[in-house]
Amino acid sequence: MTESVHLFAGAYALDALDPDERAEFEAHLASCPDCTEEVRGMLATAARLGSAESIRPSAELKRAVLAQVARTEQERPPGPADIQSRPPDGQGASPADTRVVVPLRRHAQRLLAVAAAVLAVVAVALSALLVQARSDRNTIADRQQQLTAMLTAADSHSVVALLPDGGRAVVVVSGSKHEAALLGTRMSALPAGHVYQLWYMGSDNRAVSAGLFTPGANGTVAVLLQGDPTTAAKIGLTVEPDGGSSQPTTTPLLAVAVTA
Amino acid sequence: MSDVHPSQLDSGADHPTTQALLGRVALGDEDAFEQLYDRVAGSVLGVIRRVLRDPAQSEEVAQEVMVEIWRTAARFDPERGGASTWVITMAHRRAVDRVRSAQASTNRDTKVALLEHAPAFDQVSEAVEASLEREQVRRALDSLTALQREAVGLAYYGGYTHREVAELLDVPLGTVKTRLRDGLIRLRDVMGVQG
Repeated sequence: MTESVHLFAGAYALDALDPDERAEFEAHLASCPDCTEEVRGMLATAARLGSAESIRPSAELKRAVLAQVARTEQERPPGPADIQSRPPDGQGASPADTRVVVPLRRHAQRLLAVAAAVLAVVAVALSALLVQARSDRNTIADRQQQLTAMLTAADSHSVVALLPDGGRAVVVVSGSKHEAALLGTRMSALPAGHVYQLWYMGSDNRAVSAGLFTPGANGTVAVLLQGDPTTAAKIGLTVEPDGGSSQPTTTPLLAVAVTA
Repeated sequence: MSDVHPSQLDSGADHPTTQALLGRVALGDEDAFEQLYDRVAGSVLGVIRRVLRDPAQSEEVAQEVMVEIWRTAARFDPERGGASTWVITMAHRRAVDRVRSAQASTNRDTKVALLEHAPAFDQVSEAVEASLEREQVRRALDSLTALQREAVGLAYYGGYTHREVAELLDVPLGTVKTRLRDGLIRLRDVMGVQG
């Protein structure tokens, strides 16, 4: 990192860079946690300068916006262009054992019962995964229905966990469907030769594998656990060598009590 | 959460946070979008109007931004910053893009042209609502040095690039970069903003 690039932070947050400088600085941000942290605070500060200018919009503007929104399809990001513009995912973008879903608009109302913090993760995880596995439409449609049905089951129960590396995971359990799912965002890419492994943990500390996965682009994942969660005391997540282990060999990144 | 208006901090069921609303919008919830609109449209229009100044053009860009929020809500990443910040940043960037593309066809490169467009820093649109937030921002800006305040104001409210700001203020580009950065840091600290 050169000092001159670092100094772009203020101008960047104020939208005062030329397009090529903006691109250069954004590339720099990807590899500079210090600048990322600084820019985060600066963008929030600049936004305060903006929101202080609030004025009352006309009723006509609202009518126009709502009318246009009603006929505007939502993007299911990250779009293909976004994925292409990101650095390649070292783990590969097509986890073999990952089940993918898409939020169905018709189900949106029922999803509202899910806590907001959960939704923030769910929305990102689900939408990001759609594009990633587009080549596999039929499978996706099946998994979409399966996971959407689960998320909207009357008894489904969700827990948000902050992972040690800063990622977020939501564990959803439905007792009536005997299913569980994990949705994650910003999960770390693992070193080559490693996978995430899910576990059902009994009260006797014995664990049963609930499947393997590798997060996709941007560390997002949406995976249905294998097997029935309702007999387990906890759902756990560890990092294991490729192919998985018969019992956890590393400290769990999360262990969520099954309350279904 | 400090980028959220104090009245929005209540996260009870009747007062979902902006982030919660955005999460619902990402799932295609039009009712949530209307609530989000009511909450942010004034700020979105305000920041755009401050940069563009033309009321009709500002409404046009504000409409584009609000529809863009609907269209791309699932791109919002709470790990990268607050929901209000995401919205206002999008609005400001769109306004700046518009003002620069409009001025590319006129001659904005001469200093005279720059100065003609430069907003008086204390200029307040009659439509801007008096608010505690505005007062707090004003006080924070007052805590800056004159050069920091002018540079930040020209960049953010005027939509000028740092190069143009340097020309307008007749100081080296390196100085402007530094003043924009330390000015923002000062504002952040005075307003108690946490990213």
